[in-house]
Amino acid sequence: MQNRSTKKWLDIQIVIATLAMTFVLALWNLFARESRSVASVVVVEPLVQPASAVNSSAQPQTRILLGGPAPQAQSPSVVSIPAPVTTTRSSRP
Amino acid sequence: MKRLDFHAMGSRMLAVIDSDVPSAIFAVESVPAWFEEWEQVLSRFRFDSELSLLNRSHGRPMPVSETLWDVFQVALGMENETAGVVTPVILDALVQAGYDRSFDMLPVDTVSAATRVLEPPLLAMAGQDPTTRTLWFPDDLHLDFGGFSKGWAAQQAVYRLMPHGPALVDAGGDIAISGPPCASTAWSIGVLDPFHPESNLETLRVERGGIATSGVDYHRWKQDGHWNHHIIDPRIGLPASSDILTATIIAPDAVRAEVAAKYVLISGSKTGLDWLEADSLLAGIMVLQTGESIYSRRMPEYLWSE
Repeated sequence: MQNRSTKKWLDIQIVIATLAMTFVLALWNLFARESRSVASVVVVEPLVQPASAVNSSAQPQTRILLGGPAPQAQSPSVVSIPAPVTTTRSSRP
Repeated sequence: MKRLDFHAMGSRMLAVIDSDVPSAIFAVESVPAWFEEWEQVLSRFRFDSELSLLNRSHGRPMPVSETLWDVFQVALGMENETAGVVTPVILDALVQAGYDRSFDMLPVDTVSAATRVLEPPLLAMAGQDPTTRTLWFPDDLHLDFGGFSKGWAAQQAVYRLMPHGPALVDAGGDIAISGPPCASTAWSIGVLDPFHPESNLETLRVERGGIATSGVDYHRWKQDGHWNHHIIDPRIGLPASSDILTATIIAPDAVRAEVAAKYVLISGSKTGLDWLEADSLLAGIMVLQTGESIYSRRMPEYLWSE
């Protein structure tokens, strides 16, 4: 009798633990999904403003969020001459 | 950074300010209105502009606005400095050469022959009274400020934008810069390659000052079977016959850059280069009709190096 009730209590404990873990994972997944959407918004922002070609040294703002996409390795910039803001030329319409 | 493209004085204009505060944005958005105001004073293509009224004043004294007075005084100084090679007293020669309306409306081909305007007067022959800001011209003195007014306007606009942040104004190729942008040591400015207009010959790095290009590569029209252009050599009263196709100059301000570019273009590569080298505040690139490029000694200081 005693063995049976102990076994039953153990079963309940396993069920509680399983539910708790499932709940935690579900919440984790839920927040991770939100983080992913935030992260994608950050990435979609234009990295170069029309006239900001001169500040090529400025790094794009990125945030690493739990559950978001893995940080991508950034290839080093090989262009040292920034794109011109404007061009001087003989006057034309 | 706020950037505004617009059209004025028959050319494409650009105003940039390296600031996002509302007062700076408001200032840069006011630039087209400033240009409209200046164009109404300085344009020879507007019948009712102040300059047109002055050109039709037939020797009568005429009180003028602060803008016209200022541009007149600066032009007078530049005429002295260049021994009359760069002067706004070229209107009659321009009209004789066929440039009698805005370039947008100019026919590609005209049949009238060019007549040489002999011994055009100098601006110094105009009468002036500083106390009443009044000018009076001899009958044969008519002005066209042309590119000079663009350089002046670009510089004035930058002076007005300066208190709000680092600024750049490009008036149809005449560029004025107040100081380096916040995130860099200098502004990056392209120099158009006249032989390959889709690409740049060089990329300049300029912290402050003026850049201008004068050329005979674009404003061209046919008169009596010959190609003409708008750069008049006042010494002969005809479009300049120079070995230079375009001259780009960096100077302490946009007006000086515009005047220097015109002087070099009219004078030709040899005299022009000697003149450039004699002034420690100037640097330049000349693209010759042959396709060759000549750089002044100080020019490498302004080139981005990889």
